Amino acid sequence: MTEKRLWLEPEFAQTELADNLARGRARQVISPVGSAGYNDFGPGDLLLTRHRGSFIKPCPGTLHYNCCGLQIFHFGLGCSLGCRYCILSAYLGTEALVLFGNVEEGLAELAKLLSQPPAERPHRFCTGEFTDSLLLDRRSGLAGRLIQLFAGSAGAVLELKTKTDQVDHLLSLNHRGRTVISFSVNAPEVCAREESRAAPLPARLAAARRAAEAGYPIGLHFDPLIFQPGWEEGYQRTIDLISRYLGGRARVAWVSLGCFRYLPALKEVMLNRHPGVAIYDAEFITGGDGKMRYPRPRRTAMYRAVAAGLRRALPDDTVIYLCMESPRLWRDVFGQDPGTGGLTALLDRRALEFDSC
Amino acid sequence: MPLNPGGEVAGLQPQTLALADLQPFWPEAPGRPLEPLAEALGQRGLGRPLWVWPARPKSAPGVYWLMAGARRRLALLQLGRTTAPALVLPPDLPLAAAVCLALADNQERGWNQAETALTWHRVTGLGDAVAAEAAPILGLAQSPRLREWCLAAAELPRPALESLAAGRLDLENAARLATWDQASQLAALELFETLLPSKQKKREWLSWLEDISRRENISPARALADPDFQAARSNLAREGRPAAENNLRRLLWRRRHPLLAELTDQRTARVKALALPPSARLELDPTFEDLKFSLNLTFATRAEFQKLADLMGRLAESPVFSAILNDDIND
Repeated sequence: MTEKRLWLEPEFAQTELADNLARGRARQVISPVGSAGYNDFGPGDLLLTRHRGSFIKPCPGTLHYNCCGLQIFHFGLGCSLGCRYCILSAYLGTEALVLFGNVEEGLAELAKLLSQPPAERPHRFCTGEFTDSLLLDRRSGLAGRLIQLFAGSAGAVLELKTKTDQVDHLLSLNHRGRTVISFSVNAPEVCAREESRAAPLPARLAAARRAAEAGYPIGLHFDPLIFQPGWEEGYQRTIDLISRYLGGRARVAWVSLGCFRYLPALKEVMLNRHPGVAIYDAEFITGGDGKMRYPRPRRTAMYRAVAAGLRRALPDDTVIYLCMESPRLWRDVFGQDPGTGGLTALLDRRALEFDSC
Repeated sequence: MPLNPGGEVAGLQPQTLALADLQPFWPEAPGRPLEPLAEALGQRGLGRPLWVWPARPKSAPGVYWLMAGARRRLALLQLGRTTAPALVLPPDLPLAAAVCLALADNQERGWNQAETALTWHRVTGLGDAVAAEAAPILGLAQSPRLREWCLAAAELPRPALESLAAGRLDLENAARLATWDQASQLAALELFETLLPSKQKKREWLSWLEDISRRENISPARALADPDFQAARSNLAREGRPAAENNLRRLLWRRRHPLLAELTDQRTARVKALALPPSARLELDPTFEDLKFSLNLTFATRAEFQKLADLMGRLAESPVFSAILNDDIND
């Protein structure tokens, strides 16, 4: 079993955050580490370091593919869930977790941005792009502070994205409908095989139900959709589970669909780490963004099938959208292409529908 | 220990030793025929003495490790010699120093990649301290990846090492081959030796073969035993190497990408059905991502342009052309 260690830069060694993160981990104070040094840390390591630069970044959308225009509150990066498709492994080259000890500066930056008139700033923000939003949240307490910040900010919505079921500490907060709690979901066999350290799918959906009962709008992300024998039945089983757990009571704000895609370097990383992994044996082409993607006709077939199942299972006003897909795919699946601007506007409108003030 | 420009170690005098008492310290590396060396030694004699190091000074005082001069020893044996002058390194010389002296002596003639791999493998087995001193001499100090490739490649069977020594195989692809079972290594090697693909193509083919092997749960050797692949290779004499190589690459690509192969065949048939003139070239995305299509028109006169304009009008109405733009599949 990997030993868990907390590596601290000196300026954060005596902080409450460090004390909370240190439970069950060996503490070690080290010289400041730049982002180029993150690769020196491995599984079981948690690094508390200083982030240099802005804490708020637009989602790194790429040429040729529509982006949803989400803004990312960048509080850390990396993930210890070890999903076998995770693009973070190629970006970071490590399974270590990195949290920014100077996150207070980030919260101040965010508060300043949110104090601007809604028309002059973005509406949707998330924290789960470079790490899982809730993986360490019971120790860091960051999500609660963000939820309160957004509750006081009209025309702004926070999205927390997770593969965990750790939402209970958030249920009693007064979120005012301005936080969407989103769950990454997949076919049951994909969850079991490729996401084995994440919460089991029923546990995630049970957490979604608890969050929904606490009034949170829910988001669902079918990302990545994995092509494998029996994929259609697998995703239909997940849709059936969604109906069972969330049908009737939950307000599902949106569901995103994104087929498996990866930077070419990820394949070698994952095959070395997990020699039996099969998801890279499918057919891929090099997309316009340099990522490996299933051939477009295959993606079209998968999106059509999953979107049709979701349409049958969810209320008509649920927004179903494609994450980082081409205008051609949008037209083939939904009959129209909103473009990045149109998709951003659609999701912004949807996000603000849940504001309870 | 100072090394003079002539390769002499200060303070040591050559001794005449029996060649049979010298145990090679380094693994025998392929790729350097002995005959020219034997001929040169026969004509000019041994210019520089061999370097030896007492193997077990107390228990076997007359037995030496041959640290430098393994090929010269073999050449001398080939010439029927039984003794040779040798510098005996002090028995208390640290292992790392003896190793580095030997490597420095060999460095002058340059290393082929098989020698580098085998030597690095040997050096690594002597411990971290020796490896740390030897890495710069072998040109491996700056690259952990290169060191990993060497260690892997050193495990390959003799034919692969010979190919590596001759420069027909490179370390990266050799290291990849080293993870395969031996039958598959030899099958791939035979393919490479027959068709002599570039390093890039070797990497591509090995990657495809690995994917096919995992997906179909068969060994790469079994995949390469496919009659189509065998036929592509056997057509080498008739088609010439570039054509045979292209043919084999096409077959491998199709086996690795059955869906894209099917789509390509379908599209090729449709484009053929359009019967476009040479002056109108439809450029389609081979990945089927189809972020854009383009039609390249070439004309010299207004009349030719008018013909192409008419053609475009017909294309816009053509169901075959629509089918090309809207290709789709059902899984």
